[in-house]
Amino acid sequence: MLDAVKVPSKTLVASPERLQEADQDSVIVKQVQAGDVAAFDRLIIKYRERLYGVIYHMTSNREDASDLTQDAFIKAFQAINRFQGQASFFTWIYRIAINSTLSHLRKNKFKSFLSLDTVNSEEPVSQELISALTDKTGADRDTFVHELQEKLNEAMQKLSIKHRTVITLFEIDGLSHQEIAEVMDCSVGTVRSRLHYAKQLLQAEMKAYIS
Amino acid sequence: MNQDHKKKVTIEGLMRFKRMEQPAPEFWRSFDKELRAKQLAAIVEKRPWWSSLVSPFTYMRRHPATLGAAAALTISLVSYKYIHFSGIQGHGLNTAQSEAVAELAADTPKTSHQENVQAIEIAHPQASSIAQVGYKTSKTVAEVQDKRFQSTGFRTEFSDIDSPSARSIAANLAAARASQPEMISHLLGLESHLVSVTNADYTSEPLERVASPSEERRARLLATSLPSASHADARLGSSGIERTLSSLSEDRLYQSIRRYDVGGEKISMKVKF
Repeated sequence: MLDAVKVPSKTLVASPERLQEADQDSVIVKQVQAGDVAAFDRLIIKYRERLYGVIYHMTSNREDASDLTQDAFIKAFQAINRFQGQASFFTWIYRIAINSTLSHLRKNKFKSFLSLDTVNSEEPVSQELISALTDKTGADRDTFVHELQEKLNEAMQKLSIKHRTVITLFEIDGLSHQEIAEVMDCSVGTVRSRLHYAKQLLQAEMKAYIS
Repeated sequence: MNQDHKKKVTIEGLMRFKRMEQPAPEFWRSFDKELRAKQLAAIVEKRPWWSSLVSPFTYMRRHPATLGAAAALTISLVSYKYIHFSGIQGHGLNTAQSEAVAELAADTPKTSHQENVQAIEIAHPQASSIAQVGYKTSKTVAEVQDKRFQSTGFRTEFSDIDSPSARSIAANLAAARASQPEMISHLLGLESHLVSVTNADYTSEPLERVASPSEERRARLLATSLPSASHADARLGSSGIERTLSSLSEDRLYQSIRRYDVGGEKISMKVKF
């Protein structure tokens, strides 16, 4: 049975795994607040890939994503003593990262360009999708994958910042509607609405690949 | 593109494909190195000047209920203090003004009139008694005023200080004395002072209680021409002095002076039998 007392008051996360994570994070955060700076490294290692992934899919630029992820960790480290545990550390650092990214995207609205990471085409998910889209093999297949990747990222960049954020957090990072609402500081209905609209726009942009 | 396969592709599938865009493992090494450098820079970095200003606001935002309660308590205390204090201070200012009048009536004549009386006494012993009457009259006003202050308890040892803070302290002390005289006198060791203050035969200068034989003689001489002047003897109590004040008009005093005909270095006196 879950210990309701340990649940942070503002955290809407209800899954047992997430609660366990929140407890572990809370212990580490207290260690950092007590002066154990090295304990913060555990939080970095735990969340760096997820944070980077979210920021990368929002910006479609790996250099920007790297810088913004580092900045998010630095901001969290500097403000760790002000963290009171009202929300989980996960939610808190996600908020920092998302807000930094949104600010960056607003500032560089007309200066964005793609700088993409390599698609791991050896993964079963990638192989399945690629084989569903094309029968090409070898270099042609790689070219097709690269083209698809560019089209997909361009379509993402055509979405508004908020729609892009919602679809990234939901479809790529796997957060629930409630978690997205908490991170983006909006209602669950707003999240659902944005998600629906973002999918419609993406379908329109990627109709060449979708039946 | 294969049309058969195309049907199976959805937007969710494309997003799963996009999730496969991942950095190479070596990327994380450089990432960690850069992050470490930034972290160290953040530790060493001098905090901006406004960070000290921001921290109280952060605290305020974190504890709104506590701060609200503290603010309400402070406001209520200050307003209570202000209302209470302004009431006392208003009274205290009136007292101070009255005291200033009393001081003017008592101290100023004491310096100027006493010197003049002494000068006249040397030249014209008879006329000096008239001057003494005038001086005593003004002194009597001061004494009466003093006694009124003593009865209300607003006469304090701070009365000769003119600053507003001193007046307010005096007013507060007087109010405290009025409410709890025993405790205040015990605390301040002013019991003997208060006893002397409550004495009905209060005079500021003990030597003034002693009348010289020359004054008695002058009083006797004046008694015929100025009946009320005989009551102005220094040995009389305050009640006698008050009666003198009430009966002695300025016109009559000037008439008495004219009868002595003081002028220059000589004096002439009309005596009726």
